[in-house]
Amino acid sequence: MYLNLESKAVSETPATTIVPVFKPMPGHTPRSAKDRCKRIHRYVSSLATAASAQLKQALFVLRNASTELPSPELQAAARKQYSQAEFLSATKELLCIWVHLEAVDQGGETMSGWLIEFLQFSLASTDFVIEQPSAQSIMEEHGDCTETKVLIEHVCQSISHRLGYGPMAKLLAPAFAPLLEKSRLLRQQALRDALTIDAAEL
Amino acid sequence: MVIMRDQISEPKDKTKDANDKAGQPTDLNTLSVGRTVIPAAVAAARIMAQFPKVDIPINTPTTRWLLQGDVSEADRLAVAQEFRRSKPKLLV
Repeated sequence: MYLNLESKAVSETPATTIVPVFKPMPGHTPRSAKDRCKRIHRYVSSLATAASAQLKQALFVLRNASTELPSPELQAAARKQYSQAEFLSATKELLCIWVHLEAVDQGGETMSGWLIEFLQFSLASTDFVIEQPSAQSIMEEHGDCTETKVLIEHVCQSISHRLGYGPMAKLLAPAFAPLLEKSRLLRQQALRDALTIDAAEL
Repeated sequence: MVIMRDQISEPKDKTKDANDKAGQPTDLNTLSVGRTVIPAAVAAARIMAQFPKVDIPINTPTTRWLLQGDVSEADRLAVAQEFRRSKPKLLV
């Protein structure tokens, strides 16, 4: 890895250690279909906003550190401009994988049925925030990854390609790993907020 | 006991008034949960109890797993309406 894109917004321990996790309880179940829709809207919106902010911050750090990169080609790639399509595409991928990582943190198939539905619905709803690429295509793309470590490597390479680094994408990909590895606190704050906020405030 | 965030608030005026009437100083390091005034440290400990320590598995369900749910058309339209009403502005 050439760069360490530490983000000030998220910092925590690696995914394989014992960590504090927000565990939704039966009392957090949305009270009606309408209530669930509003909470999904809040959850997906806050996650999407956080994903775009985190990615933007990472790109700033990458650009500022470009002079430390070992080749002129890498330096030029790190300083490149990003089109809206490139940025939104990468943000969408980060957003979808965050929802998946949250589902994993919540115990995967062992979590409550209502929470599984909430996260499935949330994943599908990411298409309302950023239409393309579809959540379906993003999740299918990484469908063969069975370990978090492998998944993160694949996603980082994909994000790097989406950002338009071309032949330098593979070399710059590890720079985006912290956006996934250190996302737990931020993700769980978003989930906790969406499930515990008073209905009148939605 | 689950303490929802919205249940925790600054001491209400009634509590402050009651303390004043009883000649007790109002402790700014307290929070009210329902009608009970509890120290902030206790409230914080209770909130943190909602974050139990769990072992995160190394092997995970694949990313296809969350795609398996059936979202009804009515639910899809309802949530679409929410996003039409208010869509987050993303940093670009």
